[in-house]
Amino acid sequence: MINLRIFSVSEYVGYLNEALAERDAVVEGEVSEYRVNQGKWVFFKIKDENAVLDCFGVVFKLKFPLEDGMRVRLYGRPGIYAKSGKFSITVEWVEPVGAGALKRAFELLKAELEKEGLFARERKRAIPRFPKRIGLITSREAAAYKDFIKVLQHRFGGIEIYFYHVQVQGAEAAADIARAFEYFNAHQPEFQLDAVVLIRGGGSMEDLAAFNSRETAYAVFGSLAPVVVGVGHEQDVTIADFVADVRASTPSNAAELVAPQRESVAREVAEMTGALERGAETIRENYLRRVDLAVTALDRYTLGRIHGLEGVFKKLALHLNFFGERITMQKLKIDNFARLIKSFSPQAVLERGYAVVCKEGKVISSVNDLKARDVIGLRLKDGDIGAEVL
Amino acid sequence: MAKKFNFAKAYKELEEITSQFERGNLSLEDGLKKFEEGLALAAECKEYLKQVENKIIEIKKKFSIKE
Repeated sequence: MINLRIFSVSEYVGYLNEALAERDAVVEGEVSEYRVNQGKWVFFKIKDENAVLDCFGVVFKLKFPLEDGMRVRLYGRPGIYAKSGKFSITVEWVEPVGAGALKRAFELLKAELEKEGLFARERKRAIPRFPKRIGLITSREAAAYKDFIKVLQHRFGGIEIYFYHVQVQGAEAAADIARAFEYFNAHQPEFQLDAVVLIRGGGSMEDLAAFNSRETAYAVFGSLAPVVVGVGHEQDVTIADFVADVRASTPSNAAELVAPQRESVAREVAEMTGALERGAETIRENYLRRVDLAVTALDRYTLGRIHGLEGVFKKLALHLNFFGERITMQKLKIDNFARLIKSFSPQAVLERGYAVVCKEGKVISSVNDLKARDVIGLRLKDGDIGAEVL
Repeated sequence: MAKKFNFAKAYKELEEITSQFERGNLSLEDGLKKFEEGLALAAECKEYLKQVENKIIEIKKKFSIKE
């Protein structure tokens, strides 16, 4: 006893904690008395048939919510809390063990995130139909990467793919994925990504653990660009799928959802070109019809005028005819008159055997104008002769 | 093809012009102008669709990976 060093209580707790820090380990056991304080602090016990230990942690470090009876493996720093003198493990990470526990953890996290609104339909954003730039998060070694690039190439061209390589499996995967999203968020003003695509191939529930983690869920949720998640085979559904703006059934399907098929777009462009041509033709026809109508109207008007003129001409002709007739009649009358006049002319009388008597150039019509020995002229039908009154 | 060509924008413009034609209330003068515009856009879109390549830009992580 005498040889032993003397500590204050505080010193001794510190001394023990230094020693305990070297005894860190992964501990497997069953969760009991699990509770969360203020949505932040996690308290539970881990136990087996013969022993029990207190555990303490913070919510954001736990990939899954825990539940009493769940079999887990956890890693943390063992230590004594000075204020209470109680021993506990400060948990750094914990993971469910066995298919049953994984399934249960999945269900619990799903329910929790759903309650938080991470899956809300109304927050899901649509991807533009023709994306120009997209972010791609996956492992460059994965078949998913090759499938995605290949299918995308077949569908559409001219897209810029900003590829961020991550581990898609293992202890680092979830944090790696979260960093990728952070990177894209930080560069969004510069990249202007139309979508971020998170993909990996299929696998067991253990393989897909990163995609079923809270960390990845929040990363997808926090993405500035809409997120397409395509994991594994069609039957694999992960938490990330639920949070995604667009859920693809496979990495290839993610490519199909991100880019349209160039043939169908080409067909649409051709159809629109056809519609334009038909439209232009319709406009042309409409205008032709209008011109036709105008011409017809003009025609009708002109014809109308012509018909009017014809009437005038006809009337005029009628008048002219009438006038002509009148002239003829007048002429006839004149002729008759002429004949009449002619019948009164002296020559005509002379012709009938009469004679005209003149004295000194004057026509004498009474015997009183004459006396004996007057020289007179006599005009007969065929000439003049002189005579003396007896 | 000009590098600045924005397919989504051109496609949208083409759609708008087409719908104007389908509504059919364009004047002859306007119609002819839009018709030429539409055909030019369609030609550009067709040209763009011939592109087969997508460009991959790999992000080089500057920070070390640690947790």
